[in-house]
Amino acid sequence: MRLEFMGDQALLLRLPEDVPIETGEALDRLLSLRAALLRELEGVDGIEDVTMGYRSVAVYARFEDVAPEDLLARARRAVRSLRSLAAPRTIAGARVHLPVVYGGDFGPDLDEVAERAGLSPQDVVRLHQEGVYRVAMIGFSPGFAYLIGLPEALRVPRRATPRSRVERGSVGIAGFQTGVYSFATPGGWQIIGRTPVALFDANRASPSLLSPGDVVRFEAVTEEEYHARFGAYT
Amino acid sequence: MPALARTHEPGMARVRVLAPGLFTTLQDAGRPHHRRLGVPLGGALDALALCAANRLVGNPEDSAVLEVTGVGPKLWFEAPAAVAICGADFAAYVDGEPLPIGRPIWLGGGAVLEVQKVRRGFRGYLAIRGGFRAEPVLDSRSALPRYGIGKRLAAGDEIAYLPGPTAPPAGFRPVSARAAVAPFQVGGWLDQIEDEIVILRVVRGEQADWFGEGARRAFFERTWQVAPQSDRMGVRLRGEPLAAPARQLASEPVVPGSVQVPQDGLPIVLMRECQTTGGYPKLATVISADLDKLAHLRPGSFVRFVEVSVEEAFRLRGVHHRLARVWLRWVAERARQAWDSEGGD
Repeated sequence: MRLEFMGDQALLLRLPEDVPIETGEALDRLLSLRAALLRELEGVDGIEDVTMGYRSVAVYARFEDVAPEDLLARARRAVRSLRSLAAPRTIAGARVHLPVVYGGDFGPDLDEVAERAGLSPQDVVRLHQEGVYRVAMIGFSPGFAYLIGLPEALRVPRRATPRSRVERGSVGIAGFQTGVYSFATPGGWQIIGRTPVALFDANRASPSLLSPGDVVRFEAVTEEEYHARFGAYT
Repeated sequence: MPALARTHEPGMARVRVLAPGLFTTLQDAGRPHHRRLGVPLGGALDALALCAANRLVGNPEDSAVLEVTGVGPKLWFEAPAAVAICGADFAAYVDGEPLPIGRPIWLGGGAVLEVQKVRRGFRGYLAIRGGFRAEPVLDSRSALPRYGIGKRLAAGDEIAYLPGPTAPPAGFRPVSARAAVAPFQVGGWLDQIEDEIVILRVVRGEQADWFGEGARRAFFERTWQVAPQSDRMGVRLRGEPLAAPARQLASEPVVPGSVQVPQDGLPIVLMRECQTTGGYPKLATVISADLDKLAHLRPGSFVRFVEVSVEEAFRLRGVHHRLARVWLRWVAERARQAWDSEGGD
């Protein structure tokens, strides 16, 4: 584990480069690390937030209220406390089903993904639904969940040219990752479908539908069902 | 009417936007506690100017203000108001008369305040006593239009505020029939904005050792120019491209000030409204003592980078913070005396 300050605004704890991120090994270790960090940091003034990347956890702090050395010492203690565990256990997250309309206008890249994968579009849709995904991290835009667990056969690269606008709810594939665009933004992922579920709503008690460690499955629905369920989030 | 807030609360007055300016939004101190949800920090890009403008009107430092960019808005005030403008040096007028900035301003009901073109720096902050009213979202009134929170001001918008004193304090100097200004100015801070080349102090970025020695040296030796595509998320630089590393980075957390280098070799300096994570290698990080300077870079500005150690960055952060506290206390005290002098109510 490497610990380094990000400028003078945060402390980053990073796993070695050889810990695989596609398999969930890094995620398991980071979830345990985050839990240990939150225990060490409980009641400490000046801690703004603790966030996760694919291979790292960041602690954002107001260093007027907490000394950098103090934060570093607490982070080291959190790391040591994990070493005493034989192997990180999988921390169970919430289970979420996302209805998806695959293909057509909602999934303009479905055919291209099928072609690159050497499959039929129907196989792509079937395999995508068979996957059991885990949220590795939230980023890019509010509520955007990076999901791991994509079946090997569906791993195709990003589009050569990113789109200037990807619609909200678009379900995309990029290499080993799949995910849902939580807002209409520019984006380069291959878009195979769209969900009516709002991944982010600032007015909900939990604005982000998903958190790291949550388990996600996709379920094909018709366009009628899509419209009937638009705006729902369960 | 695209209401920004409940404009019909009892006792409230309205400010009406006659012309919105180049890019005007409501901002406060942003959302430091929601990054885990992927919500940017956001807030006023010049954090110190936000505090100073608020102190000049007697507010807490983080009340919601209007952040104006390059060319400011034209605003009509329904009732008297206590206001102040800090940050960049804007040409401002009230009812057509030149209005000095960086000091407490009393406006009478019906006054038209026009913040015109910026002369130095890029972003200004218009504070009003009691703060501009808007519903907080995720603990902040900062607009984040990209994600459906708040909006960029448009002509015809109205924002509610609590009316200010009915008459100017005794010591204020009239500048028009409906405006008067305090006899002191809080200059000084803008002197940090270099005219020719803005120097930004940085520490090594998380992936600095992914870059070749040549690219690292070139980053510091070259003078970079701010590209027009820059916004509140990031300052895009142009110049001779750097050799970017070919390695792929798994997305990881970033901070405002992170200097990312995408494949095209042209650095992007992240601003306070940046995404919470990024997948481009980071060559450097601007120290927090210099973050406010980023608010005043405009398309065409020149920047250079100078490296300091992490220890030095923390020391400078402390010095910057202590100086800012002292200065803001002085600003608050002078403003209090000015508003309390007889004549107001």
